[in-house]
Amino acid sequence: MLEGFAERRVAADGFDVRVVEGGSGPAAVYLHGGGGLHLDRSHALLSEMRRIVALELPGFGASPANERSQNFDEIAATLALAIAAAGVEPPYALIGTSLGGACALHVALAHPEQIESLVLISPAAFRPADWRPPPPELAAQVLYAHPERAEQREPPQAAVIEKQQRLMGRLLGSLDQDALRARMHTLEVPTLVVFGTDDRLIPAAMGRIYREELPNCSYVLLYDAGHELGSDRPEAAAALVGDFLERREAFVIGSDIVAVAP
Amino acid sequence: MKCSIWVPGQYADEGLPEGWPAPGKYWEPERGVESVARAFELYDIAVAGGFDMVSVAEHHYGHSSFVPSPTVMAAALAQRYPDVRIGILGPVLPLSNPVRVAEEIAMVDVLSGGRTVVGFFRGVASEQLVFGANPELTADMFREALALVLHAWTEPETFGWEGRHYRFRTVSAFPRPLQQPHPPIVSSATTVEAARWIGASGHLLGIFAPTVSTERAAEVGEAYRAARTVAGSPAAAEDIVYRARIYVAASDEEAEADAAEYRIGDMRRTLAPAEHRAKAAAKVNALLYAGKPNHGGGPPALPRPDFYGSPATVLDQLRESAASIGWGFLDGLFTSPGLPHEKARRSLALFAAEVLPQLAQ
Repeated sequence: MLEGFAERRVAADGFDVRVVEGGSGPAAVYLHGGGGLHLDRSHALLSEMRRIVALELPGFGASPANERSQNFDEIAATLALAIAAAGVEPPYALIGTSLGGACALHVALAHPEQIESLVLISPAAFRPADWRPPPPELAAQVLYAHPERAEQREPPQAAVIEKQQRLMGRLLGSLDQDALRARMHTLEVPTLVVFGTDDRLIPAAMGRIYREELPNCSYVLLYDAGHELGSDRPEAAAALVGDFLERREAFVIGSDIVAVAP
Repeated sequence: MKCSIWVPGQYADEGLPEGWPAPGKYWEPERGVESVARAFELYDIAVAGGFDMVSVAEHHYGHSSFVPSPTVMAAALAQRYPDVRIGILGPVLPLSNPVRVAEEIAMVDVLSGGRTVVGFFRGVASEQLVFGANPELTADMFREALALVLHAWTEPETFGWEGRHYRFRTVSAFPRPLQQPHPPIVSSATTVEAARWIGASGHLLGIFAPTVSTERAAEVGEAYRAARTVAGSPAAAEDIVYRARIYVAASDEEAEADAAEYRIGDMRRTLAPAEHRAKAAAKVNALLYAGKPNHGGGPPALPRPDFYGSPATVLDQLRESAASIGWGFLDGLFTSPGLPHEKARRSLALFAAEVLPQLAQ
């Protein structure tokens, strides 16, 4: 648990959802990736400017297996209710990583009016045709460009991994990528898509698809970072995401202070 | 066997005080025009003599090398010589905006009908002083800048770049190179480790003769070929570019006498900073080569061109070097600080007439 963060649970859509929360400022909701809810240093840095409200996807961690959510639209409906139950007032910023990026995109498609800005970090909605999830024992090699910077954690129990992977497989397997592309054309929410240049799980080139299909999307490559870019380069990730949350579309306007002296 | 000429651009007054930087007070406009004309005269001789490529390199503030923007010079060469390759060898990446470098090279590739060959460099000590780059950072800057240039050439969508040294929120290089996905890239190596990386990357290998002993160059060439084979695209001899200093005279004795009199091949004449910058440059060198003892196998004990003598001698030397190192693309430097233009011109003409035809066989 990050320093200054606290844990609670909320009831939503028949699920008991774990919420990890910290920081101050306008709310930014965070949806985690397929490895479960773990906050890294980039979240700690972001929490200096935003109240981070991280939700655990039903069926992950210690929660019971989720046999109900059949596709991303269903789990997005649950998550939207959980966000409200956690006391987050719209409009709010929504951030999702990997599997959580696909979830966040579907929450935004269902409730665009509630989303102030959308940040998709190494999102998993689009994958190459021959894509397969990595075997768990290879995950560390695949996820990080700099495994030496990753926080050491106890690996989850085999039963937890199996439960999570079953849900993830069902969600990703149900996704019709062509249909999703068509739905994205009308999503006007300011969106930032970030991929690490060394992402070995989902190629960074997948980021182009969001740029093509979303009318208001910036696509940024984070140099020398892998799939877990918030762990590989936390300062850069937090600076980029924080700037986008603060300035949205205007974040492309230079704002570095470059004067050598007044 | 392919052959290229590199003309750094020498100021048309061999009597200037040595040292770097050359103060602007020595620049006389008319001599400046004459200096550029001399450079083109050498390129003309080479192209007429059957060279396959004309090349340029970025160097600043020097009376023996004034091509501050290699792409500007390359654009001129591309128009003047329509039938040879244009070697942009190359930009000093840590001194430039990498996106602009990508754009300008793409433009020259279009202007030249897809004839560019490109190399990128970190820069020698004097270059690090030009724009105040921190020598402790330039190796990391170089790696990131190269990655950014490649993305700028190949990303189909507008993208942003959040790097360690570069931040751009809108990158959309347009035009893009005629050669797809990008022009051939030459990467230079002085070590076996670097050669392996270059081979795995599919780049051409560049070796600058004065920085690497023949023995080390042979190891570097071997490591490169092995890496290319492992990567599934075995290297041709012409994929190894050997940049070397050449002086040809009528006889071996004359070549030796000229080499001694004009200190041909003495790198210090080009690179040695003037007194008031010498201490700074020494510190820069210490940082650039920190942890790299015997950086390239050591400089030759006696400053001399890499290949010099009569045409027959130079031909023998080149054949022996090509056989032991495995290079098949020679990038020759025929000028030297303080060497009269007429001598450089004659050396090049002799090379074109009496060495190149036999070397090409």
